[in-house]
Amino acid sequence: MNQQIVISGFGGQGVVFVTKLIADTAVFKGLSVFASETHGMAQRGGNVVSHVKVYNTHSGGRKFWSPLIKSGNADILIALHPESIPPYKHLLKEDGIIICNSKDSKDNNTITVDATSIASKMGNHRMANIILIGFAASKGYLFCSLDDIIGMLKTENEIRSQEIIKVLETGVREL
Amino acid sequence: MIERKVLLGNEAIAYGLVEAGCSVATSYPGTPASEILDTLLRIKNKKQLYHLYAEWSVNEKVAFEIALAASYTGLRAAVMMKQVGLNVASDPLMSSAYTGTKGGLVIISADDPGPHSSQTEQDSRFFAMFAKIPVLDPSSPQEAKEMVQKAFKLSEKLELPVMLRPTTRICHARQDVTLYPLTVPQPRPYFEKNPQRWAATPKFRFLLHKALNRKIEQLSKIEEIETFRLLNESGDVFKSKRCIVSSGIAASYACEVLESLDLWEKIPLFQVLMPYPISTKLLEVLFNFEEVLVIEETYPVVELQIKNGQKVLGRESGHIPKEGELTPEKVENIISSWLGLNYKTAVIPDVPQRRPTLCPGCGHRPVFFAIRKCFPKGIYPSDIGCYTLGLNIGSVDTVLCMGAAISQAIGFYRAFSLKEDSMPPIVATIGDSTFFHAGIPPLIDAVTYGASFVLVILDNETTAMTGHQPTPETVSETRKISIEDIVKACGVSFIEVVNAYNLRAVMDALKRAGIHAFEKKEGVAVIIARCPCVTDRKQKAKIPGVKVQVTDKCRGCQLCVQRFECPAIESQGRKQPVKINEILCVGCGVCVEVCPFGGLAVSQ
Repeated sequence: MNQQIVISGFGGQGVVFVTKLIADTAVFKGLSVFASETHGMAQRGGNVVSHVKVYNTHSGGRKFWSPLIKSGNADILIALHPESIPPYKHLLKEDGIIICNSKDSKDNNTITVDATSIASKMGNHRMANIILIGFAASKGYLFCSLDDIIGMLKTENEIRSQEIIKVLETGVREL
Repeated sequence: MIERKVLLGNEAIAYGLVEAGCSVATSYPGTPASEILDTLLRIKNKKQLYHLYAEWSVNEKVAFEIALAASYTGLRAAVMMKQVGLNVASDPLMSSAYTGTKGGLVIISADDPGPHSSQTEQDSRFFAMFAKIPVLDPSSPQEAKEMVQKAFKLSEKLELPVMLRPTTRICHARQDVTLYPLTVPQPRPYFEKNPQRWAATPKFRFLLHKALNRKIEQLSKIEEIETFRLLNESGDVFKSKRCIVSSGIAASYACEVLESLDLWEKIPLFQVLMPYPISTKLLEVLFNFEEVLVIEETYPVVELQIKNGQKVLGRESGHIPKEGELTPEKVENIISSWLGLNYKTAVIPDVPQRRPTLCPGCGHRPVFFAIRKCFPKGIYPSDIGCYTLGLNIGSVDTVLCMGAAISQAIGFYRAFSLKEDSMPPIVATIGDSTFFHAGIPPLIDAVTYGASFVLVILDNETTAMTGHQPTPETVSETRKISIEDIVKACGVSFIEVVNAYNLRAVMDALKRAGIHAFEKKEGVAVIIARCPCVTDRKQKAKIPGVKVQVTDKCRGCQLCVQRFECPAIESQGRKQPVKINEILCVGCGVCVEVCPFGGLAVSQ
């Protein structure tokens, strides 16, 4: 399947890290991927955004050529902070989905998860990014399932990957 | 074994270098180019590539000259930098086009249309044209990787340096890329002496120039390598009287736009792979069209080389914006309005963005706070790095280019010294890596002619902004270059080293420096404010790790919010007590010293 995903947050929240995580998962599933991220000056506390475009070259689906998502074309916006929604909302399709890390759940058009609290309870608030992505995958909003992400991480054979698997297994499964 | 892996454009370029058997690689960090050498060093360590030498050089000029000499010995060499880094290396660049090379030499100059993280939007392809060397312009990470191989071959065929020009959207894009087995070179360096070439005097330079012109002419007619291609050889494109010529990432946007506007089988789209020198064959093909729209970033390099001017639409004709990055939306608008399509323009809301700030616990923050407090009427020249963000605190007045803080301090001093009693306190700031890069010659100049100002070297023992690359002070355990020793050797008589977290010590040092430089006018006073970068995992954190609380003495005056600007101190509005964001606070405790009312305290 083809999917266009926007991930936003503040510098330091781990936007680039989860971008890499789902891009790697796409290739693990035999799909092709383009992604675009923010580095340098803009990372210092400012808004950071990633675009991820996943496509399947084998099923005759449309190929993507560039790493940027055109306004009005994204299927889903995953925001690590409520303030990181307004600058990128225009990228979404009319029926696009927003998943946000937030304590509030006032806005009906946004699916909220208090990922920071869950991560803090697990002892590391910096893992909120993993919780949020894991949630999106486990609820079927992404091209990949939670098991796909875990499966990809298992191939990496690194200590850090084991930690992330643990967060996904314990922090996300119960949501 | 062939493998597919998701790689950042810069990582793909690094793999391209290793697969091509590059032996010597040099760079100076700069966004968007930094991850190329970062990755190369990582591959070298992981795969134990002893036949690859790679270093973070002190600056781009030095990096360029090291790689060039390695190429003189027949080895494959590469030098990489951001576009403004090429300005620094422009002296050897110009000359190397004349002398030429032996082993392949690839210059990777990463441009930053936008700009996202740079002082200018300059187009390195013009630099290639100025120097008379070929330049390749990739449209994706995969293509950037392939072009590395192509660039080496081209360089060896013509004995010329070849430029690869990725842009931010290539460097920082990820794509699934094909990896091939690594070539492990068996370097056999051999330097064939030829003074008429390698040490040419002006008489021989004329001959080298003539030879260079011949090479460029030969290149414009070259057929062994693909220099342009038609991307959509289908449908009715061959009947069209109009076409699009594009290069780099803009060509990728154009592909997607032609598809979404249902024009893929109607309007021919040519991708220029080598924008300079432009292929004479492409010029012949284009001559048959009634209209040619050129879409490229950032300057009209291809556009200006297409000679049938009246038919060419682009920046010169006002069809393409003359500044800023091209985006998929912009390319869509350009193409649809060119064809007179009734297309609804995407509206991108102008949402106020958070401005970048120094990180919570950054050691630069107390120094900037102290500078402004000690010398409120000062002029503050500064430099390139994270500490440019000192401008939020009001302690940075000028930022020009690497090393300019010191030379500009001299300039301000000289200007004001021409009118008696008008001299403001001049306090310059420069980072450790920037000081090594381009700060030493102006410091020598300052001392030589007796300019009197305060210079604070902000030493976080790393090149922080670009991802913590080492500096000459930290690259080796055994050969540490001491900033104090360099400053002393430059002839500076006032040198003090302070811990940047100790706000009082910083202020006291600044006052003593002020007496030396401003009252007694005894020349440059240098303070080295040292504090490891809080985000650098390689350095041992020396953060006190205290817990800061807001006391009932907080008046909500906003001084700590506006003048100290720590993201962990959150304003709740005027006259309301501030709040500490405990997730962001790293516990440096400096803010406790900043509040004059005791509104912030360390909780026990």
